[in-house]
Amino acid sequence: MRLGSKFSVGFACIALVVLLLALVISYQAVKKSTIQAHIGKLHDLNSHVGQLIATDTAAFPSERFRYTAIRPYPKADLPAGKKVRIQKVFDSTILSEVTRIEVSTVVQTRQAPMEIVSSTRYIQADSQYLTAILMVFAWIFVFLISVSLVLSTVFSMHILTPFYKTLRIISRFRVDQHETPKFDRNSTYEFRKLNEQLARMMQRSTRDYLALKEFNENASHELQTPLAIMQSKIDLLINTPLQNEQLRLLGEMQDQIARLSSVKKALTLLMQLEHYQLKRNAVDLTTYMHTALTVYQDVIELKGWELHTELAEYVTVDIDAHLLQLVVNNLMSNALKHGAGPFIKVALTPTSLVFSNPGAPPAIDTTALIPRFHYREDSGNSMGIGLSLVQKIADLQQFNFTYTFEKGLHNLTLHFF
Amino acid sequence: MKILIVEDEIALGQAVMEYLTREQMLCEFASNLKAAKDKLLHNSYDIIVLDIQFPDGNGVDFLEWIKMNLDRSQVILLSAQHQLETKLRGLDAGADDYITKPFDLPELSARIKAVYRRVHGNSQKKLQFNNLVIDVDALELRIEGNLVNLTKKEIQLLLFFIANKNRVVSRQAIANHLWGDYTDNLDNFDFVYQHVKNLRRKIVEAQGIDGLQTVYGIGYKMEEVVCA
Repeated sequence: MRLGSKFSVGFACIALVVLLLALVISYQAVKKSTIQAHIGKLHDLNSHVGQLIATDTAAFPSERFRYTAIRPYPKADLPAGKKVRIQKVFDSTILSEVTRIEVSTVVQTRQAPMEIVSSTRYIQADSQYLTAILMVFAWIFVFLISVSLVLSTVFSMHILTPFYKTLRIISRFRVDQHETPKFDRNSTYEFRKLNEQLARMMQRSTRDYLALKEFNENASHELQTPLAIMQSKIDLLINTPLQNEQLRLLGEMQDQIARLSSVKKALTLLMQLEHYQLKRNAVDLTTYMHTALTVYQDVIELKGWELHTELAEYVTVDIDAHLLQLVVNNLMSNALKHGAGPFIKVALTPTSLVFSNPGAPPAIDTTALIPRFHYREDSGNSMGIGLSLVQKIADLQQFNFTYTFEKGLHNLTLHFF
Repeated sequence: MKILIVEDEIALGQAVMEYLTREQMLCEFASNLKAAKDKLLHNSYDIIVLDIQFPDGNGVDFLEWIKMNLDRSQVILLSAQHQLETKLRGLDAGADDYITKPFDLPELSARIKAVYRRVHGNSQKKLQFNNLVIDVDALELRIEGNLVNLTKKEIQLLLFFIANKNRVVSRQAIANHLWGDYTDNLDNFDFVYQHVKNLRRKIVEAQGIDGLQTVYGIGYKMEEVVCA
């Protein structure tokens, strides 16, 4: 829901509550003022009559004042002011319930204290009032809502323009850009604050990113260099006169260095992927796979296996080409390493890429997929890091990566959508 | 062939120099960009092996300077970085090849020879080794005029051996050379063994002299046989 609409709804709710309250109050006020008007008139009448009978009670023209009666007041102490009685009574002449208001005043006449009682009846307009007031308020409500809708649209266009601008800037922001985006000056305090904070945050993330990147590069350099030196020294050493036993030891050393540098390479990659900025392009996967798979042809043949391919034609996927190569390498290496032969099957459909290889049922739950460095005793020194890489890449690309075991086949599937 | 090695890690630079010198290459060494610039301004080199990270600058920037000022020299970039962007930037800036640390010295040697061959092509298009003749462009092996049917990998392997003739080449270096970019931690040595076996069989069947020896526990060596 848009901010403008939210404001409108909030405003409508408040208006509704206020109007309902006003409705009740007005209704009560109108009702009360009718009664007050009657009481006032009757009170005036009583005063008038009081003056008439002040000197002579017999002078009261009872014919003229049909709604007023006088009678002697029995008690000695005279109450000040008036007494009001309001009651609903049934009027048989109009066959309807009416409100009867009776106002009594006690006056001291020359003869004795007299009580003057005036009364009147009127038909109280209950539902009629209500309907009338309700109509008025309903129209006011409709008017308010339409005005607020129009205003909120206009406001959100004008006031929220800088907000949408900011939003656009944020969505285009990439930490690997060297310059942080510029925000416009803004007259709205909140947006100005927001922009300031965002600019600061972006600068900080860019700085952090660069620092981390630099650290990675340095770490990579620092580790790689000694490895390179060791490796090159061994290359020199094996070309000096050595005995078989020494050569064998050197060979083993070299294997371990190679293993170390491949772990380092994979870890560096994983680390880089954490901050990797995708460069997506539409890649013709069918063609790519045809080419990529030929690289493994010899290895597969040397193993005495076969490569079964089912590549759908014209499959194009938005993917980072560099990452794609990593995915294919790792999935293929995994199949070569863990497969039991005699074949590896690669299937490409418009929505997925599947590497399948026969093998023993998995010892671990296939859903608890690919923990980093998962050690498989049956496969020597291999590590699950390759699959972690694929998982990471899948996450980056917002692909789904699944591992299933069906009918004796281990299936590693990358779902593109 | 004259080579300048520009590498801030002196131990590594010396190892490279030592290896290449034994290959009859004339090597010089500079441990920073300033020294490298001095040498480049006073001498000419066929190939420059250039690291990327230096305390006094960036190798890729230096590469751009080289390509602008010295069009004769070929450059092989040497880097600890697996990052694609660095690689692409380097190749864009005109690097002739790119090799990632840690590398095998036989690999570097083979790459240097390949780059050299590419530039000084014509005379060396056909490689002669013992009685083997290899057409480097067509990737064909002929023995006594007869074409030997080798796979692409076998030809690559043979070229790698010849580039490092008379030297022990470890199976690790061979595996990296053949599959380096594509596989990690494969049981590559079996494949190396089988490729070597097949290559050997094919050469011997065609009456070729391969001079190939197995060096126990570590790798192979291809020796030039002086024919009587």
